[in-house]
Amino acid sequence: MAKFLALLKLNFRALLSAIRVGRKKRSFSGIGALALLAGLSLYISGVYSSLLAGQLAAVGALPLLLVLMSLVAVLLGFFFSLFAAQGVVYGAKDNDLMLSLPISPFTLMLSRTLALYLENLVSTVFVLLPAGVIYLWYGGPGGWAVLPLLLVSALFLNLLPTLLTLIIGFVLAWLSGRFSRKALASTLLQLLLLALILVGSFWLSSSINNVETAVPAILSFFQGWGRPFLLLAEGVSGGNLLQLAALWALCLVPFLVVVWLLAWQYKAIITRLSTHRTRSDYKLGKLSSSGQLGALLRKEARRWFGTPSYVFNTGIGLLLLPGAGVAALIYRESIAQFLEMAGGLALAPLLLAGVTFCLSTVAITGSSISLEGKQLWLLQCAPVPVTTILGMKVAFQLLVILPCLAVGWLMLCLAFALAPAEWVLLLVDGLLFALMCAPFGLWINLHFPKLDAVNDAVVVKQSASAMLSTFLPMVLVLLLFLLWFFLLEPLGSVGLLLVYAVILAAAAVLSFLALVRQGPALFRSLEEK
Amino acid sequence: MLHIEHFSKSYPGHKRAVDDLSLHVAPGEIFGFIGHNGAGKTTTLRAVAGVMDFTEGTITIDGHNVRTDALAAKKVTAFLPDNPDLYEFLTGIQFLNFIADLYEISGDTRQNLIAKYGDAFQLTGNLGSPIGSYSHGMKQKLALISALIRQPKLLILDEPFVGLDPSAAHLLKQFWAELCAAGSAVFFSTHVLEVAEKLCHRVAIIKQGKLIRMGNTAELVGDSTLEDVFLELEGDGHG
Repeated sequence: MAKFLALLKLNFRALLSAIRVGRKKRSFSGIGALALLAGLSLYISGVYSSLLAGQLAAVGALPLLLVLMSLVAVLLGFFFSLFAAQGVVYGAKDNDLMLSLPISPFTLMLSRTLALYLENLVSTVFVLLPAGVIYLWYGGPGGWAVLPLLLVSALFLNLLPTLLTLIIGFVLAWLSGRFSRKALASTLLQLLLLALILVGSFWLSSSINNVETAVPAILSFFQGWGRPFLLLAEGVSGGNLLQLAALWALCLVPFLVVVWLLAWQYKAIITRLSTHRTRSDYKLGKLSSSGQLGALLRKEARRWFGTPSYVFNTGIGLLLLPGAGVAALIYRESIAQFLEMAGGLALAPLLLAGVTFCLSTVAITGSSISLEGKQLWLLQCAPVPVTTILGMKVAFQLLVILPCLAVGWLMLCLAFALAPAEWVLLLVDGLLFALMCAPFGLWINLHFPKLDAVNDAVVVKQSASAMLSTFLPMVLVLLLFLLWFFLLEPLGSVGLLLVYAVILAAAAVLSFLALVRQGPALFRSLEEK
Repeated sequence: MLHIEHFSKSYPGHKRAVDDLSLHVAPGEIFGFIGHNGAGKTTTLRAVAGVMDFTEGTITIDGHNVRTDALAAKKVTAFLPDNPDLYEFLTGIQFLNFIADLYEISGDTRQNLIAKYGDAFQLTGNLGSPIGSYSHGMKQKLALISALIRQPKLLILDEPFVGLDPSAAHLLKQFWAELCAAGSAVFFSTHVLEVAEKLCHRVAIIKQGKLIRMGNTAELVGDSTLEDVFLELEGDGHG
């Protein structure tokens, strides 16, 4: 038991350490990481629960709030820990060390799985608890017993996202060990998952807007595959312990079966996953030189395209931009009708908010230094100026963004029938935002590098730099959106876009200056962190 | 070729890792740098390679100051750390091309050199595979090839023989001899004293950051062995 607890502690720490940077100053503790996870879950739950509760209460279907929010809890837990399962349970770098210790593979697997479970539990509890409070606030049946019953049920419900991440993590790890185009296969699978999650969230959003007509459809879904969520809501709101016991069994039994199966074969699985085949039939052909800039740029591209979690976490905005443009063109007539009804509502600044929001998710440079990791020495001893190394990282992000921005911009302008001046300013503002984000992300990453991460996924998904380089530009987007409320009337659409251009140009210049002035020294000092 | 003058390095909150080190490595010379774990060998090698910043002392390579003329110094240098981590998302040939591009090696030259060293280390057939699929020894051979194709004037290696099979180690010694015959120099750290005794023209012994003995290997060893000399110096309170 002592061994198991020691392993559990070690693996839980490994999960949380992803967000920690530095040794003394600027360091986030494991508690800080958990607090961030809890805060994000609380925010999402608070927003969705309060939006849903009012409408569900109006049609007398308030217990559905618990059904929907328990689904959100499972999806959120799944989303948070998907890459952790791949890295920590199957692809951990300490597998050889751990398997050489006098610990059974079963114990090792179980400790890693439980560490994952504990991480998930934070998000599950902080989604369900606010939902329960809001449910009671709107007068949902069940009284205050709802909250303790929800908490106990959360312990069981949380087994579902852990189970899903274990299975998907295994498939991803298996794919990455088997296919010659493993990065592509893994990226496609992850994009498929993302599409499913997006469809789910669109469905949830449309349900929020049209609860009355959606209630029967929601109920029919939850009578089938969504049965555990319905059991939770009915058991908690009615105090029905039999239904709750059924829910607990539905969560616990498949979890134990899968964990037992995987743990039983754990050593064989990770041995197979860590086995690589190297071809030995390469023939050296004619080689040509392409210069330092090309070499650095190609290296950045190969890292990005060759690291599925990197593409997945920083490429969604790239898909959303042209995707939104295509959708806008398809619904062009509806948009025209809406604009006619809205009586000349200036939408160009709002479109810019949408475009810049998408761009802020493409924080490739925010993980670029961290991903150099233990290979940093290659760049540090290369006869290339640091400014060139940093410049190529910025250039790569811009090269990836600009085509998507151009396509999205063109289609949005056509669909929304913008004025010529708005066309130009929307593009200029979008470009300036992109020019601000790329060096800013790199500057943040130089300040908060994570060079010793257990795998690439935790760097791009959970590191402080990845989060800051994504969320801080989003704060700027929010500020631009707020300006829309106050300045649209006095300035008009074109005037407001001009104000945005000035603000974004200043932000871009500041971020370039910060990188140019501090970047080289920060890069040189990385070795000593 | 390499001049280290009064080099010192301290880490924040720690005592000096290297204290007032001065040594010279001449063209055509193989120079061994010997010491216990934590003696300051790696710190010195990393400072020479320009990987680590320092403020005290001067290091010049082929007349180029490592701090003030870093790019020129790096251009004539090849450095390999003790456990060279390479880009696992690249194939072997992509990695070698990447290095060749950074060091501005022409297409024909790189092709000839990669063929020469790749065939010698029996790695050419594997160059099309991702580095992530390589064994530890293959990665080390690839790192060595990437260093040798630069035809460096100064080759800096931290524990180069760890993980190499006997035939690769033998080849490496041959290639060092070739480099030295062409006027280059090799500066390496090792724990394998027999290797240092056989290979090195000169050796330096460092203890707790301070140089405690340096000289011609044959003169330093005399009738004894380098191991005896090393253990004697380590034991008699030098430094």
